[in-house]
Amino acid sequence: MSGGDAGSAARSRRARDLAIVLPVCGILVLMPPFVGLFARADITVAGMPLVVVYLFGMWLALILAALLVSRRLGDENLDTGADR
Amino acid sequence: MTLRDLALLAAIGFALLLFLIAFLGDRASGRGRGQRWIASPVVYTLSISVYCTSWTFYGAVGSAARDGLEYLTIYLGPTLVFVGFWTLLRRILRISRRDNITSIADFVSSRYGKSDAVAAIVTVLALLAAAPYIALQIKAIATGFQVLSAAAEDPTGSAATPDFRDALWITVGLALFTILFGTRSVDIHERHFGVVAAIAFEALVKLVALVAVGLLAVYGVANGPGDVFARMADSTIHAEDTFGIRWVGLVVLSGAAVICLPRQFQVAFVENEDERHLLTAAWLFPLYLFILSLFILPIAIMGQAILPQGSNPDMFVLTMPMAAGRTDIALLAFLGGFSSATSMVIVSCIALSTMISNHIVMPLALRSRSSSLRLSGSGDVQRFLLLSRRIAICFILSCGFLYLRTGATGAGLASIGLIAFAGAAQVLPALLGALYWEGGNRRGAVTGLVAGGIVWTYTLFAPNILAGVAWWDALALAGPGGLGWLRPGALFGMETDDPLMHALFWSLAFNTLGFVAGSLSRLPTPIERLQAALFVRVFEGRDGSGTLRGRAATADQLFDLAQRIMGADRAYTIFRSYAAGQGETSPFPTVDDAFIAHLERRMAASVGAASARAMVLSATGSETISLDELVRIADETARLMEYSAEVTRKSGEIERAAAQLTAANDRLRTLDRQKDDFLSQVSHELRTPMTSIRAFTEILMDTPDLDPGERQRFIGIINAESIRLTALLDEILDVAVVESGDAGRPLEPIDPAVALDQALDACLGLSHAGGVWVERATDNAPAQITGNLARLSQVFINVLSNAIKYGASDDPVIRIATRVEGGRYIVEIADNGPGIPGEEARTIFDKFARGRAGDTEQGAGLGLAISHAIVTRFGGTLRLLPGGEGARFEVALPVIA
Repeated sequence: MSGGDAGSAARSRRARDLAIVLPVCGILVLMPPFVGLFARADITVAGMPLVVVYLFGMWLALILAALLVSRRLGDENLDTGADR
Repeated sequence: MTLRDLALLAAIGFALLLFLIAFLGDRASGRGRGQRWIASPVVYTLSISVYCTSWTFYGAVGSAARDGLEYLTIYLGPTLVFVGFWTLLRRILRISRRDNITSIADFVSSRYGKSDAVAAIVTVLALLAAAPYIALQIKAIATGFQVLSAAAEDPTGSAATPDFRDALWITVGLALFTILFGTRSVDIHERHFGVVAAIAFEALVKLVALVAVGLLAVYGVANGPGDVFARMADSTIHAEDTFGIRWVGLVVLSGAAVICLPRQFQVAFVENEDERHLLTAAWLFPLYLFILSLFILPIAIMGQAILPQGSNPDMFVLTMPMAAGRTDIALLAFLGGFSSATSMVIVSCIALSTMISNHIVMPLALRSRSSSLRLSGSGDVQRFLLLSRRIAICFILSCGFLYLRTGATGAGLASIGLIAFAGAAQVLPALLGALYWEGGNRRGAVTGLVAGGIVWTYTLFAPNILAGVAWWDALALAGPGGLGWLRPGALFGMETDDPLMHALFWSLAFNTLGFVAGSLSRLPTPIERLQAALFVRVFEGRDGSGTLRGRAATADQLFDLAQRIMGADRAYTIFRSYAAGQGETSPFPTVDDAFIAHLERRMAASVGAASARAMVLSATGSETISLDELVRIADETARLMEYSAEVTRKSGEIERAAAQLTAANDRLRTLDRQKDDFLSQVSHELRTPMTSIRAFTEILMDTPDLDPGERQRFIGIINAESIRLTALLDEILDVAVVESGDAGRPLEPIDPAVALDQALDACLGLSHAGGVWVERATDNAPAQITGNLARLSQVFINVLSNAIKYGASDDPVIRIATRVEGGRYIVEIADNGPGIPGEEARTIFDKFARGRAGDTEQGAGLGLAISHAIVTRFGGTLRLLPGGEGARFEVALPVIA
């Protein structure tokens, strides 16, 4: 497949960049002052405080993003452990 | 059957199950890869979940009940670290696997020049932090047991205190399990498959148990999630004041702990079977934490809602189901708590005992009885190590038990856990420095660790264990020696109501400052520089730490050493396979630097980098890596590069030589052809006069009556032909004479202009006959050269007659110019004829060459060859100048200064 190598290399590179950026995004959304914006007792979502929904929602989003990134990264970037 | 009996039965049954799983795990690991269910990424992730101890299981609910959402920080920190595994965890993992790292202490010391001191400090720090933490786990099991036992009289669990007899039995059981499965061998990679299998199973149990209690809280006690929050006390969430400095600090702390705690390092990096497992753990471990955290808050809220005021929130996980009338779920929760506590204790004990034996016992043994360790054949290091580890496990658990006995665990589970976290976090600056800063060195690491450790002990650890002791309370109130600004709770006057953040700030500040300042205070040693490069640039190419030892050791000496550490079978396997890799037929490999490095790494898997290094060094006889040696290695590399450059150059030379040979060969062929041509020419030349001489003499003999006029003419012809023959033979002879040194004609200072004059006179007749106009331009003062007048004029005559002969044109002109240039007397003789074609130009000075093949002119073609030989003998050059019209010859002779 011509061009397939370059394409997969670019995809792999993008996955690596995402892997680096992901924790930064996580820190941004889970740390003050950002998280403080949602710390309002008077707003509830389906009976639950907004901040609780926000924190768990962001957490879950982070996990899903990590799942996608690790799937994209694939095996080639890591040792297989066959030498052990 | 009372609930207590049930709980006891369940605990014993569960313990037996763990033994069975550990046994199966160990057996599965011994089989082929097909049987390696044990090496799956899910098992790896579950084993990392040893992070969730009884602190999570019981304490997080208590923390949520007291401080609202703050408990989430303990799980968000690890989530961020694992989600960002690419940056940090992958790096640590690659290095740990490459260097067979055995513990966090080994990792850090390995980076800072394989230093015993660094490893020992980290070990002591870890031990200090671990004792109360382990005590907590024992306490949690014992208390849980007590809550279930006393369920009838005290359903709120508020009065439950651990029974020390229970605690003792628990401690003994844990010690037994840990020794049995944690110290089976000084495993080559420090892996414990059975233990990993058991704690993975326990991770599942605690997840199921907590989810069960959580579901009961949400759907059994309350009526769905909305109802839970509707029944929440207003003060529980603390939303407005949760997200401050403490939130950030705790996330950082927990993120550091998930790497730096000895047991976390053990399961995540030492027990790792395959780097790719990290890809799964990166999201699965955060998911595990997410699910646990999700159910903690409802349990805390519902516990507060349905249990009377004053109930112990740390025990809500047990008391809430009991209050709801579900003893089965309470029993499951008890097993969950049992799981989380035991798994933490087991892994901590293994990690710490490895650290103690490798970084405290081993260096001491090497130092005090190094001779016996090295020399006595019976002193089996392997047995020594195992024994020291078993003793260390008993020691650690005893510390935990005694700590529990002294009753210092009064504070909430969470706060004591955080103290341990803060202790473990002291390794963070040295660890990050190890990975990202090549300038960090041993002095910096020691300074930072000691400073951080002291501040941590003084501001956090001591206040916790010594609270209530009279002298400490006095000191804490007034400061040491009355110095108020040194009070442990308010260092440098930093008044705060949060001792954890206060201690964390100061300890990490001093730690980092000490690390940086210490590192900058001296240049790194060669070994530090080497290790720094190997750690910081782990992803840049293959490692090369191999070439740093002297080679005084023989293979059997090294084998002797290795078998005492690893056991004879394993050592034999290593030596054998390495020898096979070298292509040796004997089981002993050739001892080179690479093999010693290989062996050192293999031994490091058992005793840690620093000890392995010390042992190998003592065996190989080179004590330290001196700068000289590094320089030598650098030289060797440089020499190698030079050598390869030389090879390249030489092969170029060979190519050029081959080209020259080809050219020479071609020339030889040409010369050979010329010789053949000339021989036929010469025989023809000689034959022509000989034929006519023979013919005329035969006529003279056969016809005696020839008339006298006729006879006279014939004799004249015979005479002329004889003269031609003689001249030809003279010319051939001349070449031989000139080439063999011209002995009859000595060299002396002469004026070349005289020779030129003689030559012009001699050629005057010839030039007149050819109608050639000769122009002469002299552009110099008289000069002297070394030579022979007659020979030099012969040269000029040859060149001139050549020019006259071949310079045929309608209006032939010969231009002669003389000058002195660059210390040479130069005569240029040019005609305006057709010139000399390129191929002839190359051979014109060769013997037997004749200008313009087919030319019927006289001469054997030796004139220019003779001239060339003469000029060369005088130290000058005779050459045909390229370009211009006609042929231009140049005679250049060195002038006598």
